[in-house]
Amino acid sequence: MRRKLTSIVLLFLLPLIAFAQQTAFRGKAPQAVVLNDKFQLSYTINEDATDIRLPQMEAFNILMGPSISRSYNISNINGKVTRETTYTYTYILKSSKIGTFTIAPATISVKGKRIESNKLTIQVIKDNNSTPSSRNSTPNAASGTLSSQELFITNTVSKRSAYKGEPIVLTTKIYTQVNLDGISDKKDPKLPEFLIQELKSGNIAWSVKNINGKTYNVGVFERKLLFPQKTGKITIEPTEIEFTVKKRVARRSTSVFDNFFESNYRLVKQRVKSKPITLTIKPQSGIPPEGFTGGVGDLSMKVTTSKTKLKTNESITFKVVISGTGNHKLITAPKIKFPADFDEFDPTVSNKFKNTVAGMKGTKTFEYLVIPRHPGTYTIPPVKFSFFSPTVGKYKTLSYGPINIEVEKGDGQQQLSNVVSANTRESVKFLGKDIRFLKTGVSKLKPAGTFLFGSLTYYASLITPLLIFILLYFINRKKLKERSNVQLLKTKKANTVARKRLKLSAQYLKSGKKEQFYEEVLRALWGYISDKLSIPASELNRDNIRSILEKSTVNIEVIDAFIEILDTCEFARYAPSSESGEKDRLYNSTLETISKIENQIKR
Amino acid sequence: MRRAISILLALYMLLPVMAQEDQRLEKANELYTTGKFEDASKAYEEILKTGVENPQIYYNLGNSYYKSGLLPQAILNYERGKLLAPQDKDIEYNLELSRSQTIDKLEKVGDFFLSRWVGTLRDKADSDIWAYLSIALFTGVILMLFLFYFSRTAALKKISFFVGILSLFLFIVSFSFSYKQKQKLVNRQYAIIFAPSVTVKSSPDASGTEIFLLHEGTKVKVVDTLGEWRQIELSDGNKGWLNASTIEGI
Repeated sequence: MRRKLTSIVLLFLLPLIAFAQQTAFRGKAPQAVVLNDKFQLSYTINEDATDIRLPQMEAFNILMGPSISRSYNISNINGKVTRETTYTYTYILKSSKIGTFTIAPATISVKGKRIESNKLTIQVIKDNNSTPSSRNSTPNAASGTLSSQELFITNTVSKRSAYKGEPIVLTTKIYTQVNLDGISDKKDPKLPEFLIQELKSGNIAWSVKNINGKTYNVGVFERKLLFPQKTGKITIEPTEIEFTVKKRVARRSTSVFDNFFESNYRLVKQRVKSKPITLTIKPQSGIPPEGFTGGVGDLSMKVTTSKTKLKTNESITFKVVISGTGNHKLITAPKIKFPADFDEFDPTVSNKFKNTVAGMKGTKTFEYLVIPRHPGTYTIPPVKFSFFSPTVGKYKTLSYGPINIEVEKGDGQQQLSNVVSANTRESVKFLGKDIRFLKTGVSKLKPAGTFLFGSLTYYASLITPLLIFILLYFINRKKLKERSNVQLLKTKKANTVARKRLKLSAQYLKSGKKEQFYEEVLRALWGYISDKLSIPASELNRDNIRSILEKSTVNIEVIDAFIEILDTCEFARYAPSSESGEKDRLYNSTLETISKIENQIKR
Repeated sequence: MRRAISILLALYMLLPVMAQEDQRLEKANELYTTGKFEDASKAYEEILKTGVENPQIYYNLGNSYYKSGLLPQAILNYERGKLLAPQDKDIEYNLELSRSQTIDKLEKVGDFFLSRWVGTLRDKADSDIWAYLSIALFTGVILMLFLFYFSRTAALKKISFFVGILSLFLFIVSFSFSYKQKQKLVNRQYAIIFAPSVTVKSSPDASGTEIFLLHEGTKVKVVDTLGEWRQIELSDGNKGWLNASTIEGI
């Protein structure tokens, strides 16, 4: 009981809680009406009001009204309660003139204030059907089919000629004079040359239109965005729709109730077809510039980087946002030339666009994730994005950058100084090995770039022994030569010594003094040996002369000859006769022997 | 006695010159041992700036860079040290270890086995050692010539002739090796990639087709020069152009 009471109290408090609302007073009427037809004109207001006054209307007669209806609407959105009361004033009008008429604002009084509504424009058209009331009935009702005059569809395009990739709107409209119940079958044209995007449409909004003097209910059935992918003449095949049509059947009723309970309408299936359309798709003129990834339309680009300074093995995100109207769905990621050393992942794409009559509108975002693996300063060349602008008929290029990225050495590679880490290279064979320790021994420092090879010292030390050899060779040769010369001189000298010694004996030989001659020869011989060997003459005699001479390395033959001369002289001194020829011979042999001894003797 | 004193005196006079160098080296070594690798590498660089060098400094500098985490610099200095002392096993080992940590893994084109042998033999010593050897061998040739010329016995002549011919051949080998080793130092053809990563182009032009990607620490042979561009050849025989600023000559 208590709870109920509280809720009732709360219910009464609700209007107080609710926010004060803007007072809105709006009028509503169909855009077009058929002459002499009845139609509704309604005004709505969201507050309690009184005294509605309609303006003067010359083309319309008020048949009925106003009838007032009231509706409540309480909504609770996220705990916020809104309470709405709407009052609707409805009039039934009838048109009486052909033309376009404006209904001036109506006024209403809210809490003593007069409020005006909006203006309304209504077109009144002439209905050429003979009997306006029986518009839905058909002349050939008996056959059960409808003529193409009564129900038909049309396909229209926004333009007949477009560039490849430029959006074209294909609109399918239904024109009908009959009551449509629904659509039972639909056959869309196959459009392999296009990328098709459906444009969102709610319920079919019907309007009245006069075509060739006939009044039709016209509704836009559907709209499609077509992005041509091929060039040349392309024909859009007709669209086929099968409608179910409510058809009044003239039936002879057997009872009054039949008419009352049973419907005198019958559902008839009617298939209608539009006309084919031929389009001309022009190729994009010119050679696509660098950075063209299929974009057509009116686009702009924004590039952002998550950071420009980082450590190795950290990641950076490059964001490229393409915004504007165009064919977003067909745009692929623009290429960013990252340094070859960066680990690069495929860009992630996120779309945020909707289809509009002008094409896709919104943004397409590409996110590139890269991870630099090595330190250094890297420059990423300008990010280029090109697209074709159909309004200008030319390519446009947008560019951003260049972007400089500074990569510092990360913590991961710091350990190299102490221990060989296992992951710096594919195949490290050892773990925990270190470089060998310093060389601490004393060593000589020498000036940089000095070599023994090629230096003067080097060549000198090579040439010196060679020179010594050459020198010694020549000295040796000269000595050999000289040695032979000395022999000759010595003999000569020895001869002169001997001649000198024998000078007196030679005189005696000439004068024929035999005894003096021999005596002088003997004295010369003894004197010579005594002088030569520095032995006093008194110590020399025939017995010891042989051993003395032998000691002095005189040849045995020479010694024999010397002794023979001594003997000959001794003997001849006392011999009675001797020939002078013998004396000459003795003189000569003495001369020769002394010379020989002179050459051979050694002290 | 007097002679001994004078020699000692001369040595003492020379001592300050040698001691200064040693102190600088020792200081840098000490920095390294205490773990101040960056200071150590600076100290070594200072010594090198004075226009002196030896393989040991390059080796130690390479070690300091390696320990500071600068791989390309370490490789560069090991390579320089190796040029000066191709026979040094420690340099070889550390260089190999550093190379194994570079990103680019390159296959080597196999040389003809004979030239590989010759190369291995040549790298057993540096230019100076081969030069000394060549002097010794040449002196030997001359001595054999003496013996051949002045000896009177046939056996000695024969022996000296053959030994002489052999040492002449060895002299020519060591002479050419010494020349080759010097040429390696004088005409330095190789370079190390210093940029963390560099794209090698097909032509000396920024818009050239990108052929392959190289990373820091990779050793390349500079084949040709055109303005700012260098044509490089990889050990697997691939060729391409890159900007001179991305590499550092050994």
